[in-house]
Amino acid sequence: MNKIKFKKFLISFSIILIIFLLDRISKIYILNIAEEVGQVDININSFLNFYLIWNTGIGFGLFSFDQSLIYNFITVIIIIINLIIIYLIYKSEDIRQYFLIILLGGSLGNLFDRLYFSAVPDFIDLNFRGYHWFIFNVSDIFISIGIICLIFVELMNYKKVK
Amino acid sequence: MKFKKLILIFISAAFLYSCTGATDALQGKKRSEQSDEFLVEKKNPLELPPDYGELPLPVDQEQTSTDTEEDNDIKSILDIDTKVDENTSSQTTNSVEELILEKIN
Repeated sequence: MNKIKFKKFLISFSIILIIFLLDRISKIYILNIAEEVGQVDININSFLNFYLIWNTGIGFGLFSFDQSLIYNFITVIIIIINLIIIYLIYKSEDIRQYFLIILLGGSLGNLFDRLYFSAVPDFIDLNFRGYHWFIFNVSDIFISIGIICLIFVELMNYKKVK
Repeated sequence: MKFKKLILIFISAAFLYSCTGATDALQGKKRSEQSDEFLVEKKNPLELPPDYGELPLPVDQEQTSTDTEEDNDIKSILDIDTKVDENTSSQTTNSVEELILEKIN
């Protein structure tokens, strides 16, 4: 029984580590360019640009203030949410566990930047005919995957219960 | 109950995300107002130090200046007038001109 639990823990930890490292490598690469050139504004194709911007707030550019008190308060909330996710991973048994792990991996990537740089670097700029989507990073991609899958599972379970 | 759960997932997701509006990027928003971590420092143009004249001369220049002084001393001893030289040289050029003109005529 303990062996199975350890195996599960190892798989979960590996997924989190892979997501975290993918995010770190992408951010380090972009930050190195920023240090060498001074600014990151790379045009990949007509739909995708790399443009570095620092986010001090939360998602969708909300609560972006320079005041450290609000920043620290938001950081504490994010840490609490992460702890709740870890608790939910520990409690859940079905496929939701893996979606929560993906969510946690992405979330830890952004949390690390919040603690280390006091801001999160965003650089992926998707656009179509001049209409820009929110600029995001690799962590946000994994958070989105986790959230969408969790919502999908919840909706499926809701239908089954009905 | 499910609806509440979905709202909770959305709110927590908003905190975990870090995406930023594209308008901030187009306006060139920095990490914070005070930060200039990627600012390229401009160097001031080169200037002479204020007490540059008081600095001692290099050894080579010192020697050359003493040499010219010695030359001047020798000229004063020999009593060679430079102005006279200039006059004579102008006279010679005039005479050459006259000679050429004569030949042409």
